[in-house]
Amino acid sequence: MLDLFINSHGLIPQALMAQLAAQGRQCHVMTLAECGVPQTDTPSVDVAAYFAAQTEAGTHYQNIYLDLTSCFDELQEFASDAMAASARIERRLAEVLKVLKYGSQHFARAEGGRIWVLCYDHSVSYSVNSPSNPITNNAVIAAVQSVAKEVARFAIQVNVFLIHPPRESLAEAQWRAAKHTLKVYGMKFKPQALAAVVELVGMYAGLQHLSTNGAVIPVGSGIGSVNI
Amino acid sequence: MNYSRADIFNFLVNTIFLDRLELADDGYSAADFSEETQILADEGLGLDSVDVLDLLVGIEKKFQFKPIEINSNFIDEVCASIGSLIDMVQSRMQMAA
Repeated sequence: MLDLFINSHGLIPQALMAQLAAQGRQCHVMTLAECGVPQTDTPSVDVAAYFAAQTEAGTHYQNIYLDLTSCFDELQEFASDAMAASARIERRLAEVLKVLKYGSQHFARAEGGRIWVLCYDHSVSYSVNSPSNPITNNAVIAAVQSVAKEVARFAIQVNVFLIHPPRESLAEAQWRAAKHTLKVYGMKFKPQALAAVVELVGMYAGLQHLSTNGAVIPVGSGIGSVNI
Repeated sequence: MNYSRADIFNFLVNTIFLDRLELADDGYSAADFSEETQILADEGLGLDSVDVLDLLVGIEKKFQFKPIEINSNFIDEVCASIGSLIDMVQSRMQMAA
């Protein structure tokens, strides 16, 4: 059993890969230029060429995880340079669309598979200093809903996890300050342990019969932006 | 294995179009197809890009081709008609031989 992690440097993909390794599953990793961390040891690659090479080599992934929870923050980018931020978002979304397109083609040749896109719920950034990517999130959700309908006939399922940042992603003081600020609204979110988040994501991915496709799956204790 | 032009045509019509793409459910029969049948045009079969992916994956498997690079130029040129599709299959079979 083989899975692919696209952008594997964040807390969640790292923990998820460790969980899968403990279960005896193998993982490949690849990094995108705009959505990932190009300066690390995993060089960014061309998405189309990557999937073509893997398909030709006979590699069949069961799951593709595309992590968009780390490495960029739209609000900070806009605060710094709005024009540059717009251009980056466009390039970033083009990369995401390529993953959906070529990932779907890979699965179409391999009798199906699942694509999971991991995003942080941007509504949480109103209260704590977590990455806030409302444009990317909404564009990704729209793209996933659209492509999921089209590729369902190939036994391909595409879903988004909209995740409240786990407790370990921020300093304890930030969570405390947010809780004090929110007071009676403190249940808007309650940070969950990284292990709990990863357990839930892994549980979905491990389901033999998955009954969601084109869905936004909220992860976190409280009210996700998709439920407002 | 050698496939004649007629073999490829029959495979495309019966296995791909009528069965895999379920055009039989839309009232098509084998008699409705010829090499001139347009695949993408609305006045022909009116297939969309996902149908084309399905079609090409079926061809790859049947004829054991390496993954075909699918882009808009390829789709417009090769998937214009059943005849042009057969040309592509024969050309790839010759290259593989």
